[in-house]
Amino acid sequence: MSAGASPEIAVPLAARDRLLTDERADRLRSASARITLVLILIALFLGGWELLKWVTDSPRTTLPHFHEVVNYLFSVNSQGDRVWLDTGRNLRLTFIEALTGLAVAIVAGFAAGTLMALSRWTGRGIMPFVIGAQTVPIVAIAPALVIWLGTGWETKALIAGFLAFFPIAVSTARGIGDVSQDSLDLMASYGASRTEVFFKLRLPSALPYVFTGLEVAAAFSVIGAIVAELPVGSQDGIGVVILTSQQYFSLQPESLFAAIGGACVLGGAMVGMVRIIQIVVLRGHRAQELS
Amino acid sequence: MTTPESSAEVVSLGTNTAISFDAVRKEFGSGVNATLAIESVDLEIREREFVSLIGPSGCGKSTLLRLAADLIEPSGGTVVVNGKSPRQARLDRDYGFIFQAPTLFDWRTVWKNVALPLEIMKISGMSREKKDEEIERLLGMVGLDGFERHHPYQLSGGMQQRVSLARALVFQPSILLMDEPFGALDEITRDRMNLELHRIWAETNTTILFVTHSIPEAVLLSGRVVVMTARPGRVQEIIPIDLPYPRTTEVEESTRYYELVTQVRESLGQAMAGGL
Repeated sequence: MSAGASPEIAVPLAARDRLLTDERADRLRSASARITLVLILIALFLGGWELLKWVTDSPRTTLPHFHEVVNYLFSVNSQGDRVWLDTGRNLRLTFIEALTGLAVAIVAGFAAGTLMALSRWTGRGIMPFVIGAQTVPIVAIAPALVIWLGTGWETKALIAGFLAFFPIAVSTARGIGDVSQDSLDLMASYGASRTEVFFKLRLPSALPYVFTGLEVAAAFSVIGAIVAELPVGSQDGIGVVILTSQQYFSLQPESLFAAIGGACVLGGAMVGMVRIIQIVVLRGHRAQELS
Repeated sequence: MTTPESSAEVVSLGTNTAISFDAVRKEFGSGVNATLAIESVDLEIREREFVSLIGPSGCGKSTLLRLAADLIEPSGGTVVVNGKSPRQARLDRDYGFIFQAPTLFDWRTVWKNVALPLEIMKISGMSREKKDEEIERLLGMVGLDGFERHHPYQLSGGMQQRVSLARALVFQPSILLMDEPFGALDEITRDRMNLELHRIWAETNTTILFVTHSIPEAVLLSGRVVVMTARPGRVQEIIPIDLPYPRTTEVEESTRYYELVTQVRESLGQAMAGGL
């Protein structure tokens, strides 16, 4: 433990300041270490890609060079658009679908999770539906939903939200319910109301759990949006680009890899966004829960 | 019942009864799984008194404390706190409860942890400045000035328990209910905290009901030590502690102190033999 663990009443002021500076330096060091690690992983990935191509002696129609994919992104497609601009436009739509879905899932999942944790009977009523939401094979019912609700972006947002709902509901239920009896007794000794117990104890102590679920949900929302775009009838979105690229793979193999790369960036961006919000919101929480 | 021989005390006790247990019985569970935790407990604690409860594990010391705090309800008999039902006393914020674990909220700073009871209780006639002053004064009293903006996990166990003490004192309750508050601390820190607690008790007008496992601690701090029998818990003996005040390290080294420690130990031995 830190120097604060000494049984002395007060750590000298200078020592305490040094402690805080050390903490700050540690955080900076770990951040730069993480960036270095990411760069190394990217380098390894690219090296592996090219090595695989060289070892298997794959032709361009099976596995193009990485630089060919990058070149393709800067070329002009049959509609006269820059490919990266077109990909970006499609990604934007998928992003909006995923984000809307995630927002809906946050509201619904948080409400369901809270009810499950706090109300025995309502909780038992909801539980089968939450489990049901998880076991329904979304890939199987997505086409049906598109037929019923149309091919608009709202349908895809709904499917994205459906997938993101479960991790949020479960982690919220876990967090809201996981409060020590002593803490509850303490609040009772102050004559705190249920609302006060919720806002001053349960909610803040649940936040680290909620964010863990939120991170999974962010990734799921992108998966949900892409899967929802796959059924025939959709016009736009990165899922559609992936599907068409696959059909024309032998002619333009770079296209599929560019689309897959775009989808990965989107997933990463969604999770990263949640992480940043988490770091801001959980500033005061225990340091290890942030890492 | 043994009457407190408080004549030797320099500290004057109030004339009113702070907490009284009258034929109190508490059973946990029901049917075949029921366990009788305490039975026919009669005990009166006067205002301003420092009383320790000591006894073998599972003798219901904590149960008595929780009954007084209205965290649980008795199966029989009556508990009266400040002339009221425990529930009314709880709603009137008559007591502060201190747990064995500091039970601080990690997401709050030391300052905000101490401020928590004030946020919940709408204390009339206490301005914001007055509240801030009071928090500052208490943090000073428990030796934590300079740590206002730290979070609990940045503090040692002893410091965390000090925060919890300041938090219990901030709304100026007339009674402190303490459930083995220093049980998890090392010997040195514990000794120090004991003397500090005693000083705080002498400085304020607080009645303290103190549950402990430690005989020396009970003798050093209390006006009376209540020895309880093994389950079901009953009052075995009430031993008045006629040591001079203030209780300092010198008192801890006196012959009388050792005699009293021996007396409590022997009584405890009988209590355990009776329980087995």
